[in-house]
Amino acid sequence: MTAEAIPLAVAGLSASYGVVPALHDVDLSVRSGQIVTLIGANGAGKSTLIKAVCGLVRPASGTVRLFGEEVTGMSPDRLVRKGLSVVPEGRRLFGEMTLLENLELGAFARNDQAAVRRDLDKVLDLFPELRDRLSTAAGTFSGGQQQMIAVARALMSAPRLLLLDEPTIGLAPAIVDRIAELITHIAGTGVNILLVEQNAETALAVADYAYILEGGAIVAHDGARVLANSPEIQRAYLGI
Amino acid sequence: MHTAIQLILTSLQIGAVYILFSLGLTLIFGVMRIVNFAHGHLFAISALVVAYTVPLLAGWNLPALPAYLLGVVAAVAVTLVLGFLMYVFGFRYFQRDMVGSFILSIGLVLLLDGVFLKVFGGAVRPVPEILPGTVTILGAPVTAQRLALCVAAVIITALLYWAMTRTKLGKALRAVSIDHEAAMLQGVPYGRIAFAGFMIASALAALAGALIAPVTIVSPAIGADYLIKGFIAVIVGGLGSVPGAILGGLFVAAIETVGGFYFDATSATIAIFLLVIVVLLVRPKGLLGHG
Repeated sequence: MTAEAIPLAVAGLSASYGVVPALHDVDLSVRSGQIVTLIGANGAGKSTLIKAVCGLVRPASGTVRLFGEEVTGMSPDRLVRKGLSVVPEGRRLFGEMTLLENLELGAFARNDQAAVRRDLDKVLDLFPELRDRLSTAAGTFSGGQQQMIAVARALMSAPRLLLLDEPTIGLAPAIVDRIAELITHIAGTGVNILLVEQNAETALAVADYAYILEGGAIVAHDGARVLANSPEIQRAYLGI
Repeated sequence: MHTAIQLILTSLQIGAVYILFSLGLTLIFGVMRIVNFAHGHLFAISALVVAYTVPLLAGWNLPALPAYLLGVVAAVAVTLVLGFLMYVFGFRYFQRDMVGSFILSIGLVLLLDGVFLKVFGGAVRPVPEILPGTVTILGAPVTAQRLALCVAAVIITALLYWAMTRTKLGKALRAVSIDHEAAMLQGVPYGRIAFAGFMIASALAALAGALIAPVTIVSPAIGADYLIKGFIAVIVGGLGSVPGAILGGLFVAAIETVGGFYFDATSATIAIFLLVIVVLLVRPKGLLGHG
């Protein structure tokens, strides 16, 4: 595999932003066809890393490469056009707008309306319970459904790399399982995935490769199965 | 009954202009999270250009209506140029900066006050009658001009409402005013949308100014009164909310009209402020406010 083919390569990234935790010299990559997870406790710097990757925070140093192209500090709307899509922490749906309008905004950067309509159909096939409620305000759905909508909205841009920021936080176990299945399914359609999670158990179960972030630095990285069996990780993150 | 109809019609006439004015303010606030105190000057320059060009064109033996329509085109063009300059050299650098934009817009108010006085002079300018005659609605007489103003304002408001709910730009404007970062993550180019929002707001101010010119007395200071009423309307309705601006505009106009009829103009103004206090005590974000 050539270096150009790597969907996401973060190198030597340092960033700080207001009161959020800083990042120190973080290296991380998502290789083609992989589900990669970044695990860390509250305040470890996960959100800062996501923000730096998706263009909401300009890193102090280091580089971000998307499919081989350097995109460090590029604005989020341009990154969407380069194949990146984000399911932000806390979902951040446009609550007063309808479900359909939220999904249409997900496809804002695309011009091929026929392809957008096809993708809308495909996305709604993933979430049949949403199909009849397209004109309902997005903010009135349940927490689990809103998380599904956030994923659906992100898929509407037809991404090649999907970033999910704590998609299972605060959800019931049954919904967490459904989201885990969904992530595996999306990866199966050829989308590369970076899953940022506090919930190490779920994250390690679906991911191929995992990074552990502590105090703004990567402290361990290895195959997800290897880390899931490491006594240290089990003690610190899996409560075993 | 006759009085009630008369009062309702008057409220609608005043409200129509407040609505156009406050729609612009609320759009700029929603998209850029700034308050533009110089918005009244966009309105004023439009009214001034109409008041300046219509007598001029009428002097060349052009009939009143074509003269007025040409005046409106000129007024909207001049206002859009002023709005463009304000954005490109000013507000672009103060997005989502309440204090910075406040200081900038106060500076613009002082600057433009001087420029308008120099260019247009301090004298009030009457605009010749454009549509002569009176129409009777349910027994209450209304001048044809004021009726035309109402109809035009309703059409413009309906068009804006349609554009905000049906077009891609409208949806992007609404998304940005709900959560600009989430909108950018969907691929919405924030800078271009903010510029579009500012220019649409400028166009609304221009149309409001051009519509009010024939039914009022135009002076360089005409913007100040409408600015205050427009702000009250958006605060009562909920900053950033389009339906809120419409509701707030009608609310302020109704109190002004009814209060002015049964008491006097001063009491009406005091009543407006009292009601704003009451509304904000009960609903701090305004009647239809969010976020």
